[in-house]
Amino acid sequence: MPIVRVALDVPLTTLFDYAVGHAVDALPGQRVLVPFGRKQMVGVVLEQVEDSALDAARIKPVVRVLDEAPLLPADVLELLRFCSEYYHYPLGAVVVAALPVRLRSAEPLARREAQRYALTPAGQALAMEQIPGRKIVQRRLLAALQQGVLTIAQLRALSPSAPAALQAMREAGWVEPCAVEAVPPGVVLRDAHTLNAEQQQAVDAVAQSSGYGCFLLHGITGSGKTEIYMHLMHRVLQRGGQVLLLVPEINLTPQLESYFSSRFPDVELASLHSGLAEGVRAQNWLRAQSGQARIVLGTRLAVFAPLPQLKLIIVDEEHDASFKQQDGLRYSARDVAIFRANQRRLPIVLGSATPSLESYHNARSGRYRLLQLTGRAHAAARLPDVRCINTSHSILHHGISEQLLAAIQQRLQRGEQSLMFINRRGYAPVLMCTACGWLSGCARCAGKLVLHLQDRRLRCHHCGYQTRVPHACPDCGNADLQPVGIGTQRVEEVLQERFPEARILRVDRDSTRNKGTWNAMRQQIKDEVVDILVGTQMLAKGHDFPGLTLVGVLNPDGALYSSDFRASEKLYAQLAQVAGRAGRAEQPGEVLIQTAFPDHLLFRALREHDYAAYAQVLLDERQSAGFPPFVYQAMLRAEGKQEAEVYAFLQQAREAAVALALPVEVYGVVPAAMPRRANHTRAQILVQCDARRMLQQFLQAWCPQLEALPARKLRWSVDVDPLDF
Amino acid sequence: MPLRLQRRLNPPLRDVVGCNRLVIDGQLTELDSLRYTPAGVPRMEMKLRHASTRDEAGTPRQVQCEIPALALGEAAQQAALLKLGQQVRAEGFLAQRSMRSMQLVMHIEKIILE
Repeated sequence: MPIVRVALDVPLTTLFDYAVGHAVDALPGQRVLVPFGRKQMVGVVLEQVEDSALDAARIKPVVRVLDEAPLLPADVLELLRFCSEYYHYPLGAVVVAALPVRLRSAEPLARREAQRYALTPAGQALAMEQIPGRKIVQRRLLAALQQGVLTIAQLRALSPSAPAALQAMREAGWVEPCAVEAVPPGVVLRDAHTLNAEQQQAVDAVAQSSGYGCFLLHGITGSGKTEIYMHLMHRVLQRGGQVLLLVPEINLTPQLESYFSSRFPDVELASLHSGLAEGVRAQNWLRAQSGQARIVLGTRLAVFAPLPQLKLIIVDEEHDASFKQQDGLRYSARDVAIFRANQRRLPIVLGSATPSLESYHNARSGRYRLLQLTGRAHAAARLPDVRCINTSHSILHHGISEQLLAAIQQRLQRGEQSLMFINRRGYAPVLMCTACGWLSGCARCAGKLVLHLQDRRLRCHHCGYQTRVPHACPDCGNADLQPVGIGTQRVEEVLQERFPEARILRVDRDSTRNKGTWNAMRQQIKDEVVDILVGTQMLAKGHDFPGLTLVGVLNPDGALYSSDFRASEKLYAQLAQVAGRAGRAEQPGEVLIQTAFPDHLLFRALREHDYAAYAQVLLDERQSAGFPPFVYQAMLRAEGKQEAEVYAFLQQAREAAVALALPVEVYGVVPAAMPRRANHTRAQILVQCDARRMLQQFLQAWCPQLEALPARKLRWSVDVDPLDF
Repeated sequence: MPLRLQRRLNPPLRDVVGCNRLVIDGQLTELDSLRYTPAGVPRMEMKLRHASTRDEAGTPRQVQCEIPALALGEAAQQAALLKLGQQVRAEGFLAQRSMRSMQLVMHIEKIILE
């Protein structure tokens, strides 16, 4: 009797055996509906075998095969197997997580073709003048359709009101839906810029490579990395290949999507990220899977999308921490993408202005090829002038120095925009009683409650707890409680007081909570109806604001005290990125950093725009301290309500690790950076080794032992290549 | 640290019976604008300049001092109606400015025009 081994989304590391009838074919990659306990579950067939180790009587039959053909091709299954083994996470959970939610249910889902539109003979005979001049959108659609068939997405990229105009044109009998062409004849790259010498070299290096090759594209902000992506993609698309482009932020994908569709008007593009409605995401995934969508643009989860014609992978902003998933399968999409490129023998390009030290180290040691862009693409654009304001020598007005205020004043007079960057939302990070020393601590966490003045509440940014601001100090009764430190709301208030005429916009998680607000805000900034922006890292990433000429950085010093050894690397990347917002078009930009340590090497490197020098300093530090990328790490984290239980579990885990007597370094059980969160005690063990293979061998032996330890009331996880400490 | 635990380590001072009363006349030499604490309690800082003749060791003598003062709640609203340079009578108590500063600040409970 044929047996299939099925991956199910259950927290067990095994596959499950089911019987299939002789007449039915269940191939690896196909979804099946199977009985599991008292219910039925959707799983994916991973193997077909002749015999099962189980007693034939205990093997239940598959209820139904859900797909006509395998949904997940062999290469994706192999990729998922690798992830399960490398990240030590149950294979079933990995496989099911790779499917869009909608495809994890047995409900049939029809593939919806992207609707395409063409001109009718009447429409072709139409002259532009026959459409009244005030119907701008209709004229624009007509002009576009005269060039060829277009999808609704492409039409929408021309104007947000395209659907209404299209409807009117259909009613007039000028436009009709048409059948999909399989592969468009040629691929046009619109508005292709002439590349400068460095850009051309980078394109040639990738284009001339054959088989697997990993390229680190290191280019300062504004050096035209995107244009290189365009040219590389163009080459691949012309040959009928698919391109996978991974980007860090969901917020950026709609913008990028319309940008790419406008540059490649006759190529189908599908985006994949968690911000999409489930139905849309499933349809996009299916279009990627069928090979119909030839550009797949997505966040980390897109790395698992099946792409039969995949010929090129690009990871933009490869250093970004959001490529690492922080729960469940703790994978790094960048690393998985590299594995995938190697598996499919194709080139992968990692792009960044501030590469992660891991990638940079690999590039310099020859494992990756380093491609450098040292000039800005816009010949007129200069790098911003970066200066430090020494906060130990200047008087701060609610955290803002006079020099910075004067610089803002200047921009206001010239009608240019300023951006104040502060990585802390709320009004003040803590509320204090200066009479007795009471601080607004969170009752459930080790952190402090942050003051949000607008709604007069104290909020915990770790567990979500919130409460009204107390009328008086709970310890001594003093009503004169003081906010300590600054957050975005306070900066906004202080600047508004100082510049009552200025139009100030605050951009943080609180002010952009409602869907669509951030997009509307971005438009406001573009339209230059905003004078001063106050915002968190949300503003740092990839946005182009041409009117912005001043960036002020408030309070970056916290990261210099951090216990996380990557804190300074992250700070450099963040500040370089936010500094890059200043003066991208014709006007030169200025960046003022308020710090008590203006002589710190980090700030010196920022002033000189010298990533390489600072990366060298950090790499030397890491090497002498024995930190990544010179060692490989894994972290066992545990949390639970009972402190004793958490520590007992970790202690046992540690003893088991030591007993394995493998050449890995097993550190002691220590509290996590946030030792208590939401009434849970959190602690961890770090394991490291200078050989990845040995670390894996250790984990292979250790993880099954962890499974066997008593841990009824706690949660634990193994994080391979952890990013957060 | 959880609030409750913090309180146990740092118990509120029991009401120590004792007198802390200050009544003083003076001129308003500094008057901040009316502000609010994060909980929305009105708050106003000011300075009073006192000058008078008192008897000391059997002799009348001249006394001058400047007193930093703080009004919270209703007293702050009363103070908000006053103007710089006005002669007032303030009643209240004394407290240290903060844990770190030994400077005394008068906490005004009642303030009226003289």
